[in-house]
Amino acid sequence: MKNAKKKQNEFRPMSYLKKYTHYVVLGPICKALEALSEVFSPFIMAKIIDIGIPSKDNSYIVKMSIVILLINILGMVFAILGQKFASLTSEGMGRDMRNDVFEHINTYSYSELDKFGTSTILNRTLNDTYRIHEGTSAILRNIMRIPFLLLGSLVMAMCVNIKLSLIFLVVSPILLFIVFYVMKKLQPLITEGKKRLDTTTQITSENLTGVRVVRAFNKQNYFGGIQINLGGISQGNLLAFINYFAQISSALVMFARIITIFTRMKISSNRINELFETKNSITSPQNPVKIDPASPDFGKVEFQDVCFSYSNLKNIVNNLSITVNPGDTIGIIGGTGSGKSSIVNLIPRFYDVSSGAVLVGGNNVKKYDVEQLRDIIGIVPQNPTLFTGTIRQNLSWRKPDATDEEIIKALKIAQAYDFVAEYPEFLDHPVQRGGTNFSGGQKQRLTIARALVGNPPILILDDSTSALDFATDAKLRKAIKTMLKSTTFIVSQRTNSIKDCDQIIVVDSGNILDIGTHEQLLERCSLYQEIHQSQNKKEAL
Amino acid sequence: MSENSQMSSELVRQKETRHFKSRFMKNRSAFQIVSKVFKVARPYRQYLYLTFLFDFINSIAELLVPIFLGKAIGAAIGKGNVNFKLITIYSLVMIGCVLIAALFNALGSLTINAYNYKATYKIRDLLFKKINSLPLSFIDTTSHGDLLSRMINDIDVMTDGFLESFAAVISGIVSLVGTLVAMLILNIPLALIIVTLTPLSIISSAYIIKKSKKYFNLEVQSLGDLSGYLEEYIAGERVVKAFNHEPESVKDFAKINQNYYKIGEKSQFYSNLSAPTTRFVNGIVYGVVGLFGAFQAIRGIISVDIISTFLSYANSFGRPFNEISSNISDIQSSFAAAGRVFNILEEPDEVSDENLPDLLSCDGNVSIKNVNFSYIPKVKLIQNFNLEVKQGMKVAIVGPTGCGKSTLINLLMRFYDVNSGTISVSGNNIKEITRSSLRNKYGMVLQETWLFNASIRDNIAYGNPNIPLDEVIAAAKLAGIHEFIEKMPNKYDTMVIEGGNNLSQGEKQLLCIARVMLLKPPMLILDEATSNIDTRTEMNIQNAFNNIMHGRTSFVVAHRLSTITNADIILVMNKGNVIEQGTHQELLDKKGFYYNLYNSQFAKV
Repeated sequence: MKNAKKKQNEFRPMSYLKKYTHYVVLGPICKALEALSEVFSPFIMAKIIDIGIPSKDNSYIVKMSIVILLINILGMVFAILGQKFASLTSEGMGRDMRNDVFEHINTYSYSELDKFGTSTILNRTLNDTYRIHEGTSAILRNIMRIPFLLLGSLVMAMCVNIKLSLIFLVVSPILLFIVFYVMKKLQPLITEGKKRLDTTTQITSENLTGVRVVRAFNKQNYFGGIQINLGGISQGNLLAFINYFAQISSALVMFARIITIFTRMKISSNRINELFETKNSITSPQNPVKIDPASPDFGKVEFQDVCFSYSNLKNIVNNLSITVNPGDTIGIIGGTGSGKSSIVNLIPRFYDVSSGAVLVGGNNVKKYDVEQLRDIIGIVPQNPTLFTGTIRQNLSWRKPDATDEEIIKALKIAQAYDFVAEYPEFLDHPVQRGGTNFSGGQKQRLTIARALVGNPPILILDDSTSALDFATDAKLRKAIKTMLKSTTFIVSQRTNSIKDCDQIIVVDSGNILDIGTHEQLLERCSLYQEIHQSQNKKEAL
Repeated sequence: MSENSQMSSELVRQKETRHFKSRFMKNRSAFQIVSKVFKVARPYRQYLYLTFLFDFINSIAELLVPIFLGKAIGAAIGKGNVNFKLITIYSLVMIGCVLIAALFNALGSLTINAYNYKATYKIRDLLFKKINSLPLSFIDTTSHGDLLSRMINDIDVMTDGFLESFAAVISGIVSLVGTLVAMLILNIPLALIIVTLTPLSIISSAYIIKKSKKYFNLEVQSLGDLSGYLEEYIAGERVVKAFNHEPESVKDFAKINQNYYKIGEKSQFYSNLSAPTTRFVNGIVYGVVGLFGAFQAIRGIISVDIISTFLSYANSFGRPFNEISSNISDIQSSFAAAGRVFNILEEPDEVSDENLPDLLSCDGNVSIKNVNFSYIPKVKLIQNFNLEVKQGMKVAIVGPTGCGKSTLINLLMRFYDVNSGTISVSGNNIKEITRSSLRNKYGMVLQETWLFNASIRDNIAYGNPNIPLDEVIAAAKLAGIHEFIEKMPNKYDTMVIEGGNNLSQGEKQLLCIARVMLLKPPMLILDEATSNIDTRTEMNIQNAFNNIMHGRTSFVVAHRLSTITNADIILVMNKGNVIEQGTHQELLDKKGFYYNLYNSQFAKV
């Protein structure tokens, strides 16, 4: 599904048509033929009236009527074919665009995701691509039909009567102007009206507008009558003329609509282009260092004078230096927005440091292949996010070929085994969208288990036990320590969750206040004392 | 334990939904709904009459155009044999007719729009008034909070659908009847031909609409799958990255996307087929009318101008059918929406308390005697509950999540009525006083805070400008939020943005406490914070709670050991019922549910 636009660095809706070239050519041709069939009918009707009736030639009239019938049948066949080609093309390109956009979104790092936000990305992936391929469909259906209808009607009118057809040349631009004017005036009214349904203003829906415009013009049939003054014209020809006039005006209305569709497509295309122009800011190096599980440093994490800020705002991590030996447990504590999560987000390179360096296994994280680096880190995010599917599917994310034993082991460590075992389907118990069929505490334990499958040498728990009671939380920590032996980072608001850690980092609005053990901090760090005392005086039940 | 209560509350919700559905799925015929709309919109009926009148004039004018057009053509008998004078007159008349038709067409759509908007505005108004008088039990069981958004949506759908359908139906009927009459007057055989051919157009468009509707519904479903997947994975994209799950999610997306493509392609094909089909049918009618018209002209039964008139009529006769049938799905969904709206409008109101006296003075004594309550008869919740609370006592409510703490609040504030037994405040049965006077006696601070888009001052003073600023400040000081407000850009005039980020959850809660401080109610209902609030704010809230509870009867949903041990009475709730009550020590001695709860939560590992 790789597309040309990736090299060109720009999103071009046109490039998506390449795959469907034959449809793009055939579709409009069919619609043109359909238009021709429409143009011919009035011409033949004129013949019936001018030749058939005066000469009282029954067989001629029947013959000509059959011709009209056949032309209409042909027109219908071409219309259906044209429709099919148009829908195959437009829906196909819609699918291809969505695939490409989604694939591109998946290359983003956290900063790019921050930049756009979920709803913007969602909107562009769904609605903007939709607008483009819907527009393409409308264009494909009309691009040839309109000129053929216009030109065809004009030519046929000229065949019938040159002088009279001159009127079309004069009137068409005026009509075009009126159509645009009406459309332009009505369009804001419609969008405005959609926004403010409350105010009792007069609004018509878009469809009604179109219908009314067409009808208004279809009634302007009187021009022909005036022309008769200028010279001889037959009744049949006049009738044909009136028909051509109607066709021309409806083609002009369609043309005006295509123009509005086109501008809307342009806007959508620009929005999607913004997505493609935004490139992943965190990439793997050309020749990545391989992670060596046999190395004595495997699982070691170091922060060397690390500073970090989100897109040039105030530093949220200031001069952090710490060495974490393999198997150690590190606690990080501080108020909301103090930068706790930002510290752990630097280890799997969700964000890159502003200055200083983060080392994993003795090497700067920037030297590794990003995928390999994230493979050795088990991450439990702050928001317990589960995905539609089954428990097994959710728990196999770190290791697609995980055995039941491995999953059960992870569930047991995460203190989730007991409630999962109660489900008759066990691991195949369904997970509803957003994990809504689990309680907050259950979700947290499942997301912890998900991170544990495959024994990651580094484990990050980002404030992910807040919904667990103390007994469960304590059991969980003990199980991780004894059964996993991973280097573990625990971000928490509660001192009880981190007091057994080998080292504890105390942060306060971006600053590293202190680093030490629970006992050391109780002695010398006033913020830590304050937190600890307040929580242990009135402990939550 | 918490899993069990989770399951049981899930069960309750399911049953409630079923119960609700059986009540809500009252089917009404389209006729019933239309007559209800007409009844509500009776004050605006003159707009409806005007619309009929305008459409009638429009239709007559429209019908005259082809007649004069035909006459003009008839005046051009052949080359060099043209009656200029007549043609000029006919042309001018035609121009006049066209202008009149356009004018009345516009007038007709103006009046029908006015009718629709006035009618739906009134229905919306009735509906919002209705919400205030509906019993809470209805709102709770209806849709878990999205009642309002669904109603707004229903009204929008109803407005849109009625707009389309009323306009189409009225002008359609008028022009259909008009055309038919005109055709019958002009030439009966040709009229019959057109009438017999029109079903062709109806059948063909009905077929296409049926097909396209089927695929449209499928498309909506599969679009739901697609957008659901996108929503889930884009929102969870950070997790996807953390687990290197990108290739799998791209692959899965391509599958769902392909499925949507297959259905979408068919749906688009069918939905765009109606225009060419209509053109085709019109073409056929055109040919047939030409054929028979020509035969009749040869026999001298009609003149050529009649043929041209009929060619125009053939088009306008079929048009109303097409318009109505292309709007049919909108019309259907608008009727469904209107049906739901009227179902709500016709729900019985909360039992009126107009004739009851207000609760004037209140000392804070609350007495609960033999109370039984359940939301639905089959699932028993509170059974034989007795409680005596004296003025100034502190009642702590404890229990696992979902144990039914909110049920108790619902009963105390009379959002629901007890099934049997009595609740009295200051010796007054709460069923025998007005709800508003009862609720005024309670100050309520929940975790879900309710602030409105106004200044901090207005939020504390509940929008009452008569309360002097120093009283507001005094309340804020008691709530411990005064210093914080002083640091805000405009101090007490800083605007609170609903859902905005200028206040944290804890600060919002402190504002609500200040509000209660100002009202000085004799009784309190408080909900202690559990998590996601940092320690300092938590301490502030706790201090503010202690201030506010002083000397007041208070019911506290408690999470903190200190609150619980200090409480005069602890109510232990589980699975919707109060299972134990007493002081901390009494309950520990009892070695029951509370004892286990307490020990399991504080046991050291």
